[in-house]
Amino acid sequence: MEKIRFPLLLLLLVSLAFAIRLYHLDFQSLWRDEVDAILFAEKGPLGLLPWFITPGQNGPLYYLLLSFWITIVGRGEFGVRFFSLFWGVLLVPLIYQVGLRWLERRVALFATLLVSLSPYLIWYSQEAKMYSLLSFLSLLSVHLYLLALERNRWYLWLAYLLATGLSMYIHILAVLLVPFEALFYLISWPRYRGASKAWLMAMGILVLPYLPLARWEIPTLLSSFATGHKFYTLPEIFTVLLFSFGLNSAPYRGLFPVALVLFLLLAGVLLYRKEGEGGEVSLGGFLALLRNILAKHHSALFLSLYLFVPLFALYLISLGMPIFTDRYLISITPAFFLLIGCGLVAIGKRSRLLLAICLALLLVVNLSTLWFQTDTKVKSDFRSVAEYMRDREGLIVFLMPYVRQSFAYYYQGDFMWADPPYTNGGLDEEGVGEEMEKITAGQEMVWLLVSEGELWDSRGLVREWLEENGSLVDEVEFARVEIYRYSLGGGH
Amino acid sequence: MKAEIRRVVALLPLMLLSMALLSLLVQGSGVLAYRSFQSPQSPTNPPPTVSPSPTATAIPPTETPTPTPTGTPEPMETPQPPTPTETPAPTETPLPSPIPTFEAAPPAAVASPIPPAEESPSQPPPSRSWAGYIKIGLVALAYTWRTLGVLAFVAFLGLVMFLAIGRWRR
Repeated sequence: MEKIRFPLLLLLLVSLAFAIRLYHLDFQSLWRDEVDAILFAEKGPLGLLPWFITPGQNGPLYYLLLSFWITIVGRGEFGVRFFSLFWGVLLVPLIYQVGLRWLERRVALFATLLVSLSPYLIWYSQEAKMYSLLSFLSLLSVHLYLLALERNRWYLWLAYLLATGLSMYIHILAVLLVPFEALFYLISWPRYRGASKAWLMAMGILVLPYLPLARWEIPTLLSSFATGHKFYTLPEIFTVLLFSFGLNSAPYRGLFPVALVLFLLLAGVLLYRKEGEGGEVSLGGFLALLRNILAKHHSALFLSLYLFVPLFALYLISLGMPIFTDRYLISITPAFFLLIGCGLVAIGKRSRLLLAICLALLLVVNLSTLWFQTDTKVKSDFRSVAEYMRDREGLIVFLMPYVRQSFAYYYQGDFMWADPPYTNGGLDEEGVGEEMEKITAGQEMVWLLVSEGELWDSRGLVREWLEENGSLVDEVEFARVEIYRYSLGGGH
Repeated sequence: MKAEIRRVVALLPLMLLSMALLSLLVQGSGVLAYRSFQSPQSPTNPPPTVSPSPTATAIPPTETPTPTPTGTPEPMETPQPPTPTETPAPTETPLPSPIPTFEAAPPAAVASPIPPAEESPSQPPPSRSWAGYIKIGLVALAYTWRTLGVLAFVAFLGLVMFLAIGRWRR
């Protein structure tokens, strides 16, 4: 009976994950990164192949795969995002398998349930970017690594090398998993000593796919290159991830749901112990004691390293070059949810009542967040903007200019545009005036489309010039986009 | 019941530890304002060096500029380094952008307060003819078909993975 029940339960969870990810898949308008992804993919395989060795290109393999995908399904929002949905759904059976193989069935089920309903993972399963594929491929890499260590078969090592090597070309920061994998091996060396030679060889071979990336990544890291990202301290990074992975876009930012998540994580690390894990504690000096402790908490150690080593590595990189953004660490979400699963099991062993309460609260938080994020326009709504602007004449000034691609994607026609002067570099009002005179010369009507405008003109000088030299005749607001229409009185 | 309460109370130190740890983590760090989906990435394209003349810039959407790798290497999603062009990159602004529009994001367009006289009238809602309904039906059918197909495919792959790894395990 059990043999049928669990696969059925898994199938149910996979179907649930699929249905939730499918719901309102194209509700949000594509934002500029997604439109960029489509434009990159449209370069086609021949245009993208050089990107694999071109400095500065992140994720060429993703764009290559996407280029094949869009030749089949087209460049529509639904079709393009479906590619991410696919990998997001596939993560669900994979995390079950990882939980089942390396931890225990109850942990696997809890983690699978949480991944199915995770607002964070659902968000990226509905975004035409590489993040859902990255999370899938990273977990596959970890799973294959553990299998290879345990069985030491050449085909498992090969599969691991393939998964890891490919993931580096899905996202450059996928490489952060390798330090975790190496450290885990070194700490648990006695357990896997039979695989020493193969491990050394695999680590050596793994350098090869990384070489083209290292060629430009390391000099960049050593340079004084300013990324523009804010610097986050280690506790800040951890807190941001707690909020992001735990709540994503929850309409409230109260501490209680995060405290619950933290409580379960701590329970997973400190209280969880896999059935039959570790042996009798033997006396025999500090090293023997340490070995016993490691053996007794092997699962917790594995998950903690999986969660914290990439995080710490990113922090170290950020010390030289701030680069932290939560989604760059999406590859550690499996560890996050498996640890929470461990925490739930550990709590359940002590109190079923508390387990029920924790699980119910987690579900309430997740479902309310999901309801919010799937029914609220969050991304810049250029679909509505293009619809609104259709058949309206006049010059369109995009503030900031990079959103023009999103507008063009939806507008699908010719329009007259101009880029306003960049003022964040210190351009004064006079300079702005001169530039604005130039771009609006001979125009009677100017539309100012503002989206993420502070990245270009944080002092609002462009709008100020239009206010002074024209009259506002129309003003419309969409999600993260504002439109102002100015009459310039027959040219000026 | 008493035993249950005792077991819950035994976990109280861990709960308090979580609360204390969280209080320490969020204290003064400002991370509560962080929004994961407010994408902090800067544009990947190099900024235009000269603002184009409006009369010459009507473009089809496919001509949207695509990124050209510059001499300075950098990851795609990280902002561009400042370049000594006439118009510097917009990425000198610290990111992420602090736009608080998420919580107050309007569900739909706000009506224009001043309807411009010369503006072309907005399109009337399209009237639904039988042909329109049939088209909608066909599209819905196509999506349903595609969805079922993909669901079956995903389920199949999941099952294969499950069985294959299960076999390895044994």
